[in-house]
Amino acid sequence: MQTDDPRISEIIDFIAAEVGVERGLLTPQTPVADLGISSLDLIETIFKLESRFDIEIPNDGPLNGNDVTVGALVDHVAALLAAKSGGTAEKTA
Amino acid sequence: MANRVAITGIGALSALGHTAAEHLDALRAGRVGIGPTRNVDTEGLKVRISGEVHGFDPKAHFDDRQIGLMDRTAQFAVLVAREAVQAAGAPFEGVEPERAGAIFAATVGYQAVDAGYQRIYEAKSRPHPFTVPKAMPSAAVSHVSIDLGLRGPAFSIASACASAAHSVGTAFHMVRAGMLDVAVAGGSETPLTPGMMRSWEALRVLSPDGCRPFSKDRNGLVLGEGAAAVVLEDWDRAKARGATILAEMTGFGMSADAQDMTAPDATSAARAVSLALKDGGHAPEEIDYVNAHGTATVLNDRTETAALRIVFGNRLAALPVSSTKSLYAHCMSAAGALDLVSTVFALRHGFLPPTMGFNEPDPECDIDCVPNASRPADIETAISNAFAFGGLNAVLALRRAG
Repeated sequence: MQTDDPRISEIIDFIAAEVGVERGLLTPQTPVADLGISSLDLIETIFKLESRFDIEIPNDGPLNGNDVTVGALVDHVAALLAAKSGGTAEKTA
Repeated sequence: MANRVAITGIGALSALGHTAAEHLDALRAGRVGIGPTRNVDTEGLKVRISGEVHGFDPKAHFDDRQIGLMDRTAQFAVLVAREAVQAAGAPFEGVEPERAGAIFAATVGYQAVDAGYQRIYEAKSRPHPFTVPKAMPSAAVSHVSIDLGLRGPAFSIASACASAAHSVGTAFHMVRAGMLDVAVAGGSETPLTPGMMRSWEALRVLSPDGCRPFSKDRNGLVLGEGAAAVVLEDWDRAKARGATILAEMTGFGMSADAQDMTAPDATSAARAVSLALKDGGHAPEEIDYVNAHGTATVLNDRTETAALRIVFGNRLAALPVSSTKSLYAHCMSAAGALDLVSTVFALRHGFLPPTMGFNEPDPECDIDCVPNASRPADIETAISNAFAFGGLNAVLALRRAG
């Protein structure tokens, strides 16, 4: 997954490390379910993203479902980060 | 005709060590595992001793993903279940899934609860998302079933300090009745968090200086952490597959005091003992050794002695009764399983485990408590007592394999 935004790059790196998948194998369209992690793993990854970036990912947001993609996950975290700092985030997909 | 039930495997983990073999060595040598609390910050605590497990490294037994989902108490449960099953030598091989059971004492994931509260009340943040699956009292037995691939009856039983005895007794009855071919049963408990230690302290039942069951100067129980498990198996099946039979489980008796949430009742405890003897087809004269509940509170030891006098009468003076909690402390939900393991070892290896810390006789506990040193003894039949807060009693009867 490529990006010029260092902030987004950091998010992708963090997710790749958490789920134990090579960053190069992640695409925005990749369903999180295809990463070989359980729904419980996704919940823990979300929790760790919250702790790492000091954000709160709402329970009823775009990550609430079974067909979440890596792009949706990264975009949502980026949007929350941008909202926190008062800017806008570049979309990955 | 009911089936006979063999104990073919044992696992133990406590302040005495990480394996059943270390448990046996400590029982024989009278090596006490109770000492100053080291794993928990004792700031603000008045009681600074406990029966801690030292040197336990989860990473040596589980991968990171497993550790993330397991409270310390579940880790302990899986470890002793693995040890018991390994000792039994593939007891589940060839068993129909529905005829292999796992019954373990209910045990709260106190470490997960404690960490969750710290995040909520101190850090003002969210608890970890796995707080619920780690804290729930059936988590330990779920992990045992997952780890061993057991797909039959698997559940937890809650009866405070009798939970493990009720669990093993229930598994025993299920095997004896022919409902199961084999079961792994036991209990685990890791209550050493600042919150639980302070809560026990507040109840005014903890000793600040040691566990001295039946000694006149006893002043309370010592909290401990640990786990133990046994493999229970249809006797004929165990024989047929050439398993080593460590002891025979013969009886299980239960009663409820229906009186008080903390104070024990001798008559009711005696009923549980009598029912275990009757269930196992034993006359009181047959019993050679009693592994006591023996918590070292003033009230328990006096009441337990009175209960045994009701059942054994004047013969009690010549009947060895010891409390092995004096070595590994009171491990609550795990206590019944650790005490059972101690009893199996006594039968199998021909010795009476000691009551350590004994200083002076108490006229209200006029028994031979095997003070301060183990003794060789050719014992055939024994019972293990568990009398819980809330008046829930469970007694297991055992015979030497022969």
